Amino acid sequence: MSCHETGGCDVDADETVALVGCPNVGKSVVFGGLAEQYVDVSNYPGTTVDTTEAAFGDAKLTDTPGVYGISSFDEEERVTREIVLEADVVVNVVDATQLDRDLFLTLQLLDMGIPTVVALNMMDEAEADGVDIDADALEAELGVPVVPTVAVDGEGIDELRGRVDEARAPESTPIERWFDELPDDVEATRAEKTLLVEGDEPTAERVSTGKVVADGGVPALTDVGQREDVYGHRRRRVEEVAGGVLSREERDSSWAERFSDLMLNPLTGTPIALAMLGAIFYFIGVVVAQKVVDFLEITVFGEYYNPVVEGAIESLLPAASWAEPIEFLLINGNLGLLTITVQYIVGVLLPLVIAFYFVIGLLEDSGMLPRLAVLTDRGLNRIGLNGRAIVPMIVGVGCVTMAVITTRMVGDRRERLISTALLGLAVPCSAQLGVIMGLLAGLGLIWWFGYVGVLLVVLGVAGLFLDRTLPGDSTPLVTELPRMRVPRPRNILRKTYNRTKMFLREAIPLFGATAVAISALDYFGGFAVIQRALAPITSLIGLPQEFARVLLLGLVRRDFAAAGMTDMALGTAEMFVGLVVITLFVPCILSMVMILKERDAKSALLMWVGSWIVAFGVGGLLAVIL
Amino acid sequence: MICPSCSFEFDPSRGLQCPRCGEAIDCSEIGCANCDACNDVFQQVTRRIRSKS
Ligand SMILES: Nc1nc2c(ncn2[C@@H]2O[C@H](COP(=O)(O)OP(=O)(O)OP(=O)(O)O)[C@@H](O)[C@H]2O)c(=O)[nH]1
Ligand SMILES: [Mg+2]
Ligand SMILES: [Zn+2]
Ligand SMILES: [Zn+2]
Repeated sequence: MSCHETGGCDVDADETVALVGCPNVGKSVVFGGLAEQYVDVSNYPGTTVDTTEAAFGDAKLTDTPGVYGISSFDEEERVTREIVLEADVVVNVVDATQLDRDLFLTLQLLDMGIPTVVALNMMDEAEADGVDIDADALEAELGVPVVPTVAVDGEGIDELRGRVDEARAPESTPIERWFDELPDDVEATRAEKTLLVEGDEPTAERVSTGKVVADGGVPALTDVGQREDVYGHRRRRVEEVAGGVLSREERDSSWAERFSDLMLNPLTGTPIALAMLGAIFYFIGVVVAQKVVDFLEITVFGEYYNPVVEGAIESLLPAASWAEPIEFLLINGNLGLLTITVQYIVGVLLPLVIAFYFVIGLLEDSGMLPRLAVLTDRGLNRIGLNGRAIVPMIVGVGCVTMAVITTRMVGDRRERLISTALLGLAVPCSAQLGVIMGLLAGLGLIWWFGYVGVLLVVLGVAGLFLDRTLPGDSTPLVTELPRMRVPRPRNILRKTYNRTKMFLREAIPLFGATAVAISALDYFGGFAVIQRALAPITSLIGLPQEFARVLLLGLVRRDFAAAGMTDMALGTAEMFVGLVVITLFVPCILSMVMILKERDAKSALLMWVGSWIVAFGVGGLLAVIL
Repeated sequence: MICPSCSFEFDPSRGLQCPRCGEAIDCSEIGCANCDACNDVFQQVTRRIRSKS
């Protein structure tokens, strides 16, 4: 989430405080506690990709993407490195259950001489694990303030706030022995020197360019990097420090670990996953899609809202001929701007989107999502399909996040390419998936599983095809699984609220514009032409000509198309085919813009045309089978 | 090789522990196709056996 969405931009302050730590340690929760501003929090690494700023007393507080160290190996690291180099104070959030992993970053910050306060977070989980950490001993050992916290409960946050002033770094650290090997005349801060001896290229370039101006020669600073020595030495110090402050008492494995093992084993995990799909079906499909949406559509909109608005517009507008197109635009029975459009957004999309975000939030915060992804990957691999593509879909919570998680969870470039292609082909953004699934579930449990099955097979086959045709070898799915947790209701509600708000902000103008465009087409008869032109392919999939309207909506967004299907009189099988077709249909208009920007017109066009072919190919096949 | 948990690239000949995040890499988890720590098949086998115990 960028600061534009949270409205926290342009905080003017002299002092800057940065929150830095490994992925998924709770930085964003601490940020929320210190700045009293909500940012996206989820139980998997890579939630924060952009920085968020907020006022913190007289200073400016920045939330950063999680990193394992200060260097420049990927985009998150570069973002965080810049912020650390400019920050006056760093609040280093450390996961108490992962001390030997996280202290590497802490010691690196101290080597760099950056004034630091350590927030020793997740103390509750450390305790549950039987790990006892002597915070005072750690404070003495590191030489900087250490504050134990349980960020989700707000514990220790006040003390942390109070001790930010005490941030400091030890006068000297063992890193200095390597400084001697730098050229004598190098003009760099201690932080830069640390990065230099670690062979950080951007720092070497920056410092060298400074030298060019000074004496005309470029010293070979990149050669002095002895990263492995420095890192190895620091790792030994980490182990010493951690060993000195930590005592562990043997515990039986917790329910969370046992459940996690069950989830990851295909034999036990598959039934659990199916049971969960069933439960989601019941909630989204039966409770929300049937009860809530039906009530809103039939009673609220059908009996009250639409007739009232229609009556009002008819009596307000004069019976003159110039008013006729306006009246048509506002209240026509297909997609009137004030009637059906509002009904689709409020009556259909909104309840389903809220329900879906809620479910996704639960899966995210409990740690289920990445496990489902790993399970599906393993299962599909076993039957010879490529499961990689499924991961972003299962973990995806909206296009932007989805892309990030893809890069996080999916090994190398090649796999990333495959995922991006499949994302464009067949994976709806979360809100869209929610709407489609909601409507599908109305058909019955068996169709719901059928839909998931068809999608998995299409993705698996397409993934296999790409895997075979693209050069290079496939790499196994390696992920760092977050631990299982009981989700916090407050976080889920806030997340659902925030995401729904963002959904509406994007969907309302887009849907409004689409409704106007389609109504105009309708009014001037262009619509009939399109319907006739599309007739061969709509009949190919065994659907009536009116399905062309749904396709037009689908050009903009899949969920609009799904909403448009709610009041078509279709048989069960026809409905199923229609929903599969619009899922596989072209990527939404915003994704297309993104693809155009990130890649080139050719691959965008290829993707666009390709999805027509796949959608109608699969749809035609299903129409024959069913 | 590239550390599976923090993506740091390090030289596995000094040992299979990632110097940055401390993750001890398990041969059976990542598989030899994705690792260049061993020089020959003999080394691959010995390392695999050792990592089992
Ligand atoms: N039990 C427990 N859970 C916590 C604590 N602090 C944070 N969490 C949970 O840890 C998960 C990660 O929190 P985030 O704040 O998103 O972590 P982050 O460090 O910002 O993660 P990235 O942005 O992905 O780097 C969430 O599920 C939180 O609810 C804590 O003190 N105790
Ligand atoms: Mg975060
Ligand atoms: Zn690592
Ligand atoms: Zn090996």
